[in-house]
Amino acid sequence: MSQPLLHIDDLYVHFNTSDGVVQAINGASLTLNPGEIVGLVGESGSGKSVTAMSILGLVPKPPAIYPKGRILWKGIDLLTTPDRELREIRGGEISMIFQDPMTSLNPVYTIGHQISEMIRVHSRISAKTAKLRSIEMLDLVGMPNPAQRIDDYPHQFSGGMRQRAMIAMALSCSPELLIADEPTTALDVTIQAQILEILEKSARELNVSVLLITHDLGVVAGICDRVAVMYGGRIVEEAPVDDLFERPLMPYTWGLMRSIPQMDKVSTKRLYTIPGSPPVMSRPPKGCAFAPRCEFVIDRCHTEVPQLIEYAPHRMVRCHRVSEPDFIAVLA
Amino acid sequence: MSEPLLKVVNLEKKFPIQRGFLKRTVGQIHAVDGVSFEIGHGETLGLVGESGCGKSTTARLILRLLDPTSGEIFFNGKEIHTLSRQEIRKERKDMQIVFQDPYASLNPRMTIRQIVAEPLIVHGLANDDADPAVDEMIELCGLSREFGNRYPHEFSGGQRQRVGIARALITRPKLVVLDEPVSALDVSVQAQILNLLDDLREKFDFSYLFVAHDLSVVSHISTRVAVMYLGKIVEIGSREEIFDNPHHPYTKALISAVPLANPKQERIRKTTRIVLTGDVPSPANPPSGCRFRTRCWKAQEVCATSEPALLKIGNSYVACHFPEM
Repeated sequence: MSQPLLHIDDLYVHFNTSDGVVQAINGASLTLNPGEIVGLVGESGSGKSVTAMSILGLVPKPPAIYPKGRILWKGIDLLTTPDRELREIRGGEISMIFQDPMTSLNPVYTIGHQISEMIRVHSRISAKTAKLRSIEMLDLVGMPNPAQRIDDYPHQFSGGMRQRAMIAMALSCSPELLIADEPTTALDVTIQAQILEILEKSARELNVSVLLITHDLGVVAGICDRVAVMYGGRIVEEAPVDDLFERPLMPYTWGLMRSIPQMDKVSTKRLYTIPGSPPVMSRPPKGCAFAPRCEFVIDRCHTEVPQLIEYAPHRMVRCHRVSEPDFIAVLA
Repeated sequence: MSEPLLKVVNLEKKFPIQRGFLKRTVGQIHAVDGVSFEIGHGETLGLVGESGCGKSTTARLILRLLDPTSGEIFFNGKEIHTLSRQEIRKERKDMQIVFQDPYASLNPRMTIRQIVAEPLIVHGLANDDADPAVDEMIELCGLSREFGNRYPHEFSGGQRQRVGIARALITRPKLVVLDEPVSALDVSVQAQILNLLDDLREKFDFSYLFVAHDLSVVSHISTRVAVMYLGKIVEIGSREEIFDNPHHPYTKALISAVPLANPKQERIRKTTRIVLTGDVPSPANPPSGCRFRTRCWKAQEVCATSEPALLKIGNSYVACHFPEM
């Protein structure tokens, strides 16, 4: 088997705050292979964005501390890579798009200028070639009249068009990995559909791996090959997309799937609810982070953190009860 | 048939666009443009649409939190649009609102009990926050009565939204307007609030106007659904009719754009998905004729020249020259 593109190995990220140490990530492991689209799903505070920012070295230290773990990019640990080299990788081999395109674009430069700048930082080509390449990229993401719009400023674009420009910029240096942090959360559904289509199409066309971070299970179901679910700073389940939705193994995933209203299954029945609210990471539960809300909790869950085990080929799950022979039947 | 609880006729709201030092009016945003609908007793009307379509403005007009430019609002037999500021305050006992952001809509200096009791005191139904109805309502909304002495910052988003709901229901209103009540909440907490809203409706038998952009949520809670686009209702009908058999191309596109949490079905839906081109036009300068025509794949000449009226098709009302059958 070929070497994975990205391997996050038992990562811990803590923040020193006036409220004490916030344990944002407590042992997260995740692997990404070339050309794969992987979804990272979780609620606010689960640690998904911090994971992504850590890959790019964008988390300010302090307040962040990395007590343990490695982030291996093609075998090199990004956590110990000097800033100068990291800058080469960031934007070049790994690029990122964020939720709010307006805050990630510079309002005083034209879109074309910003895309060209990005290209020229990472490769030695003339301004003219860079401009042509920018137009090409904007065309790829479905921007109408790219040759004219390249001279427009960000405020002249709508939300959907700005996000297209961001995708064009992110893909302009032919990255191997694109990290998309809630790329469609700020957009309307009809625009979301456009952006997701473009994101998937261009990633598959250019053979770019994507780490798609979202809270929306629907978005993940549509375009991902594999999905990792995060809760309380850890990956609690990871599986190929069909398996995960068909037969979730971790009680949190199971509960989450049953608690979202489904448009195609219109019914007036009550929704399943996960009681309580997500853990406060300055005071995380001692054992399994989900134990206080879990309906299948046993004593052991409160005291001992379960390990992420391979339940079946390609199916990782973090739950004490999953090894019980009849437990899976309960979740079915 | 008995009178509906709420009847809105040709409601219109224009916001002036002001520029420069002298604040001269240079144009108008036609946020709500001739909206008519009814809500019956015990009914939940879902009002959906994309950002800027005027759904929240419509909700605020009904409560007279904004004054309509023109149009009529009949609530509980009264003409809401003609009431004076003082008279409307009395009516608000019967019509309450829950806001989207549970962080911004609760006064941080008031305790939970004070927040929930305030409407009672304002309407002269109680003298202070010691009224037993307050604790009762706090408990009904799924919070423990010991929480009454605490302040909003001590609570999570979901709990705060429960407080917002308790405050809205304490006067036992006949109509509750919910403006995106779950969109700021985490997925696992959304279901708790949706179930709570269901339970409370069963218990108190009031009507909801549920404003949201999330079609899955709307399909779950509504009995009827109205779809808005650029200040107009393009389709209104029963939930089943809207979701199983949409007639307006926009409704169809909207439903088809929603990603379902079902990978196998998504792969099929993806091949037939109607991906609308372009963006919503500016409400300051809406297209002539049918406002959806600039993004509609069925648009023809007539769509640019004449505005389609809301006509009955099947069990829905649809504003389209070429509706889907």
